[in-house]
Amino acid sequence: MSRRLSRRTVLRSASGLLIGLPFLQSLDAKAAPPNTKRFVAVYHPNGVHSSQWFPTSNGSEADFTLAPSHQSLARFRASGLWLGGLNLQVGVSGPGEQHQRGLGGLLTGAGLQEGEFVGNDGTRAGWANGISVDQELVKLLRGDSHVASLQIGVKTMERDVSGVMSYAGPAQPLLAQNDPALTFRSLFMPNMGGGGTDTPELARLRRKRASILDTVQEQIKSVTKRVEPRERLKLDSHLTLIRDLEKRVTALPPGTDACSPAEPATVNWNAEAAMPETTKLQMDLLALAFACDVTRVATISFSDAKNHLSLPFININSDVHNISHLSDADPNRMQLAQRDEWQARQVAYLLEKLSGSVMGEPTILSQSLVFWGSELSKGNTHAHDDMPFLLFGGGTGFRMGRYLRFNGLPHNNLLLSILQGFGGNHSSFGDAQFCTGPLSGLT
Amino acid sequence: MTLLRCATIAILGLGLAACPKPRPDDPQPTACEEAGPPKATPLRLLTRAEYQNTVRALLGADAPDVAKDFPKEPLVLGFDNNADLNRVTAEGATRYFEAAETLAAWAVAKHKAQLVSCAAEDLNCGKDFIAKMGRHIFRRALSSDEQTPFNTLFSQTLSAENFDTAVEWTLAALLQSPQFLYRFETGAPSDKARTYKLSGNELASKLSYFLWASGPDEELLQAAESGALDSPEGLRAQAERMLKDARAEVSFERFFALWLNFDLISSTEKYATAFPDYTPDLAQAWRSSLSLYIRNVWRSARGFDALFTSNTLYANNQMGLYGPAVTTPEFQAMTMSSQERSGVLSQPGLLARLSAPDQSSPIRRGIFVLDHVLCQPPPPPPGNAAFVPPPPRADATTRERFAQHSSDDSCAQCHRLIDPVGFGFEQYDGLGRFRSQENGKDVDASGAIVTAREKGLAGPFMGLSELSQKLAGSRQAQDCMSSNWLRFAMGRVDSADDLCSLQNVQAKFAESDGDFAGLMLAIIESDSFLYRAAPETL
Repeated sequence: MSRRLSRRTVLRSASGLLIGLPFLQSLDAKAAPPNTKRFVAVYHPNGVHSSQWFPTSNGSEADFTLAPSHQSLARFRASGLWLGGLNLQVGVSGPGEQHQRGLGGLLTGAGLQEGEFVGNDGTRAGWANGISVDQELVKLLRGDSHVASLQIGVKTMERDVSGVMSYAGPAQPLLAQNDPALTFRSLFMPNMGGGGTDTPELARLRRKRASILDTVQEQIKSVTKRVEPRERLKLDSHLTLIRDLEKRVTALPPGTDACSPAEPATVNWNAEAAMPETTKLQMDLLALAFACDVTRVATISFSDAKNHLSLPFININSDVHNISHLSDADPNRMQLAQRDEWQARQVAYLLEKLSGSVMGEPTILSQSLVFWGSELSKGNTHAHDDMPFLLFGGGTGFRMGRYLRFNGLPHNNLLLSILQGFGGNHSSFGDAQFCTGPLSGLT
Repeated sequence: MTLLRCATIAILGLGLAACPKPRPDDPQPTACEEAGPPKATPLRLLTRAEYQNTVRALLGADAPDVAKDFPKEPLVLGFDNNADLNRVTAEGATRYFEAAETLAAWAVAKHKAQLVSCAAEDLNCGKDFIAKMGRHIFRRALSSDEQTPFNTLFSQTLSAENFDTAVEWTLAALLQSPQFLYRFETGAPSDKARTYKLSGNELASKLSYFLWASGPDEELLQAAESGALDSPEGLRAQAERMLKDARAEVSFERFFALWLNFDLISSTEKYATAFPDYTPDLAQAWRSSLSLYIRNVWRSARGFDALFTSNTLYANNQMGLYGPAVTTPEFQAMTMSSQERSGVLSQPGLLARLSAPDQSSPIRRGIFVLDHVLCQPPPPPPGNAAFVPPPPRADATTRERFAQHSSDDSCAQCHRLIDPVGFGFEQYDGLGRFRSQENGKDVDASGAIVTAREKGLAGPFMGLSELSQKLAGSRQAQDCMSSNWLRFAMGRVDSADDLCSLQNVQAKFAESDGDFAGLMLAIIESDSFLYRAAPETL
């Protein structure tokens, strides 16, 4: 019999020590059905310091040396796939500037609509013109999980195309949630209380919520009949969301205390200095949500493409966006590598959290795919060639532990491969002119 | 040391071509009679601010602040009320649900008498509550079809639970209903081709969210129900009444909170090395001070002129660094020398936001004036320009350090328009403190507007106080303000189809000598406010 942690212990220790395996072992096995697949996309802004980022190949795909920025990922080398030579082709032209097009296209593989968002260089654009791969995956992976997907942010401030990576459809942005307390509420509240046993009080709560939300659904249906066709989509989607919500808030309590965690510690998530702590809380909640099968799809954005952050916690006291613009030869550009190294550690932390397993089950990481990328390859050229993309985990059956280089293929091919890897029967994804077929050699 | 700044463009072969390319501007003045009907915004989800104001009006001014946790709205040209983009998301639906549960329980516990007042607490009393309270929550009378599901919910809960619980659960359902969460602008066929006119009830809501950022009160609902809003006189009478109400100040402030981006002001951070006086509390004080300044403009008879030239500064004990010695956390209105503080552009919070974390920023300030105040955005810089401001030096003024913009040909294309405006702000440092010297050298605050659409606006000025005087008297700046207000009222970006309305509104604002109430009345009476394109047929 495994040791059970109280709900308080789980989150308290999460904000202190790194607890991978022991914590997940404590969860009861009933949380997720076997072979549950999950997907996470992680974004950080403004490209990378390439020479400190890409591995050095020693002759074969599996024989490579990790670059300095990725040392913290060494222990996940066997579950990682380093990709080089992919182009974010859809970001090269069209409405908007390179940051906007890069972030808008990162997960959608689609260009931007015409619109009114003012980019870094004063040009204008609208939202991305397509669904993002994470939202497409919701259709494949969601199963019975209560929360369709999660968009979390760490100081993602821009409320326009420069700050959004997830799209429910063309021009249907899903903005990221920066406050861990709200992430917690989205995932674990309003729940039915912990304990795992039904009581008359819980039965009453279920009755209350069902009767209220049933009435709301009737109202939405009656209004839908009276609005013009183009607005019906909005109300149809609203109705679906209320049905989902009803299912969730009237479900029987989860089987374990660990899946009814207490509210996380409060954090001043608005402050640059609090980014490390915020990251940790957000990732802890995400890992717990995966373990408890609350959700199966998530995106995490670190700030936004238009940010002007400094990172005092790693001693970078000037604007990282400006640093990303410095030439390769400028010694101060090494601060960008320092930022990249910090980002790698955050990804390593997430991988660590996903490396636990319920007794006798494979690890979550082995059933998941973690995608990590940026909207540009390099900030000083604002280029979209040779993008810094990485994959981790066994969810799609890709052969990991390799460094693969592609000769300028569009990244839509990668998005398509991910969908197919999760069992999708897609033949193209995003803007079709930039999708020439799945990448070869992944499996 | 190598400063790249604009220099990388040549490498990328974009050359100078990118710089002078104008970006989309206001609708070009063609014959406005050729315009089509104004675009429709049939469903407008309440914004967080509108939701909170509305529930306070409905349930009590002390209602818990639930909307602060709702998903943030995307911003379009600074505004948060874009009708197309604001949709209910999974997160939003969850927050509405939590908020409704919280508010309903709170209202029954604290303000039951406001919700129901019957001798007998029975089903009839419940039905009465649904009809009366529902009318305020839906901002119109409920049809009997709409009442039925609520009556059923009430009746079942009354049997299974008790009267108070029935009120609570019914209220929670009302507060999540689409008739509450969305404002409808459906309209009905009018005497104009392909054009619908909004109904009285729809206009009542549009009016109250525009003028009060909240729902209609009883008098406005009655005006809608009696048909009074269908006539221009009736509409104007209600609008004039509402503009005199204290709630109009709330909406006025809301516009400026978006136009000046208060959220960015209160989250502005500075480097301790450059500005040891900066604290997060100071950033909060900037916001509060600016909000009081804006409210004071509303109360002023001088309107647009007061916005740009008032020398009032609201200060509290956080703001000693700007001169006034206020010792309490409460803000006091201080009259400053108009050399130091003249108008909204000289307010510390805005100046601090339009600065870098370690220095002032002539660029951000210059662009703000051109883009936001004059609606004359500078041409975009080359796509691959590297925006690295020259680092602060102890032996030079900001102006001297930025000299490269005007010496480098590729930069000069754009910066000859931006920098001269921004240099006029150099008497204010990165915290918005007034200074006459920088690094031991006298500050040169001479500036210039290089080109302008308005005749006579271009020309030199000395310091921000003179620039503010210029702007206060500028028709181009007034017109720009009018177009922003029209967007805010419509919940969408204006198009060429709004040209007649826009030109009328601009003319009336100018004729009224910059009276904001006059501007709002002109918008309310415009076709773009009252009409919409007929729905697309299937």
